[in-house]
Amino acid sequence: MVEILKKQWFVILVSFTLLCFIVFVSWDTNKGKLQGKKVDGLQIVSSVDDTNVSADELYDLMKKSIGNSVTLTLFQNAVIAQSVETTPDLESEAKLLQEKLLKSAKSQYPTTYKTVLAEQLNRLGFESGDLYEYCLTSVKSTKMQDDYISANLDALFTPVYEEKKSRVVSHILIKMTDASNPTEEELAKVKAVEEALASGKDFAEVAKEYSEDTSSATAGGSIGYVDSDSSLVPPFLEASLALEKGQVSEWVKITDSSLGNYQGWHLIKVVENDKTALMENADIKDALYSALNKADSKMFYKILWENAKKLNIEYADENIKAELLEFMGIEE
Amino acid sequence: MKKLIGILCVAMLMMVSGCKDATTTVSNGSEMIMRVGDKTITKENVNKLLKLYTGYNTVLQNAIQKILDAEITITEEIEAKARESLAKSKENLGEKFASMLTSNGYVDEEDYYKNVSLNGVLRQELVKKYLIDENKIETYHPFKAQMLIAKDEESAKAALAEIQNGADFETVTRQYGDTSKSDGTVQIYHSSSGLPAIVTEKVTNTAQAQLIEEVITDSANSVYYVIRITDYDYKNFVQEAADSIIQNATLNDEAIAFYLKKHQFKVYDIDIYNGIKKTNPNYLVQDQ
Repeated sequence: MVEILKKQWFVILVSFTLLCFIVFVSWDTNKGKLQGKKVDGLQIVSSVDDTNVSADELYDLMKKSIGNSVTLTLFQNAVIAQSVETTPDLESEAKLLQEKLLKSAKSQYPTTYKTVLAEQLNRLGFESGDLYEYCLTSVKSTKMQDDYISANLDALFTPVYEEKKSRVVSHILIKMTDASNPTEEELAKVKAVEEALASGKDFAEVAKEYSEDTSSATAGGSIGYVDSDSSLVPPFLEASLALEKGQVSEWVKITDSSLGNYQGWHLIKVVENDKTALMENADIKDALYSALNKADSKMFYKILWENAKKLNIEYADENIKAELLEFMGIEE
Repeated sequence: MKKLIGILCVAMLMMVSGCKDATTTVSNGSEMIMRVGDKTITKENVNKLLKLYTGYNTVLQNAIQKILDAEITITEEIEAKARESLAKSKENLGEKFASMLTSNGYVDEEDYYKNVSLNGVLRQELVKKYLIDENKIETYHPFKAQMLIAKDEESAKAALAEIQNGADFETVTRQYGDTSKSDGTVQIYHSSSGLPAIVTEKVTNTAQAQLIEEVITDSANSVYYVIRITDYDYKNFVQEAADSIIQNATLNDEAIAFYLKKHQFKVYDIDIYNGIKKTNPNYLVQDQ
């Protein structure tokens, strides 16, 4: 043994030095790392005194509070991805959305946008680098809903139309600093509008010429789809709902100074309130579909479930399906 | 020789590449929860998302619950307070109470009582215990006093004169003071009560139960104080002082951190660790 040591002393020295170096590098690399813990084969998440919480126990605790919501998120993503065919149009839309989200993230979080995006994607059930996948799922979701609503428009719209008095509305606005006390100049504008309408000029033409609501004037004063759920100032909404097709209101005076640009006198006209005409009007399609979603809080889940039924779905046990349906508020 | 060096280098590479922060996964993580078309959703998929949404919060709440079980005995008084809290919640939410239970995963009203109402009262008791057991009350310099807060100096001086002549403090307060700010009854004040510095200074300089024989002027707010200190020794009213001080949010955090350290709270999952670090870094007592 001594002879071997004498003969191989250099090799032993080098080996020993390398070994010490390895141990040191290993210790130094490990130093800042969070250490794990395992007890009886279970991975431990945390401990208080001698009591451990395993990953399995944590899973059970978390599942109790928001398990259904999380399962639904994953279910939803899978259904949407497979229910709607990926077309070139949808791919283009998805790419546009991706660019928009990336631009927005970069402008809000110039140095940390990648981390922020990754976190948000994870929370939505996507992997960190899957922004395009998320965008594609998002545009597919819109298509899924649109297709369902289009296919069932009459059945869905009829109760809303009857209950909420759907219509298309236009207006002419004369802005005022104090609508309860108009200046002579403001009154002169009011008179000009009245004279133009009295002379037989079309409401839309008068709106284009005189209305001071710049967002609607060029469109002949049209503010689009309105129903009783629309977020309009109460006097304006009341007047809009009280009119029949073709009727023009008296001047509706909005005196609330907090409304800034909309403070003033408004003339309101109901351009259309026929159900079929509203359903066929491409200009108000988005607003009308949005109103349908608003009117039925479970609409999205109903559509999701209708599409899910067309796919082959397997559950680990029937409770999972029952809990999902309960969470979505769907009775089968 | 070369072989030996080669083996040692490989060993080093293996050791270094295995060094990363610990994370945890559930047992049987690849177990299918459901299969939607060609997409399989596994237990680990669900676990990953759950951890993101509520992982660190659940770990903390669980740890705090264990500490409460160890530190606080549930008395009838505590239960009564908790029942009162539950009644208030039901009153505030009205018809929405039932749906709130379902959407937040509570099995029933008793489950909510145990996890929210009772838990809330126990947490307050924990903070009180921290204040008393760790002799923290003194740092807040609590004292009992009657205060008259007047809008003008003339009223304050007139009030002081009457009180010095033996008039009842509360009666004088109703006459000369702004009763929306103080009704002249005996209250507990302390360093977190929001009193102006000049008032705290005068009280500290007086340091005993007596009428402060001058009007105290808070120039910044144009407000005038007449103060009678009724008890300057907090040891005479420890529980009341603790009840008064526990509303302080910073104190709540401090107390929780103290007990987490006392009970050797430790985290072994980097996602949970980072979650706590982002919101309550002082709760990561393993780093202290």
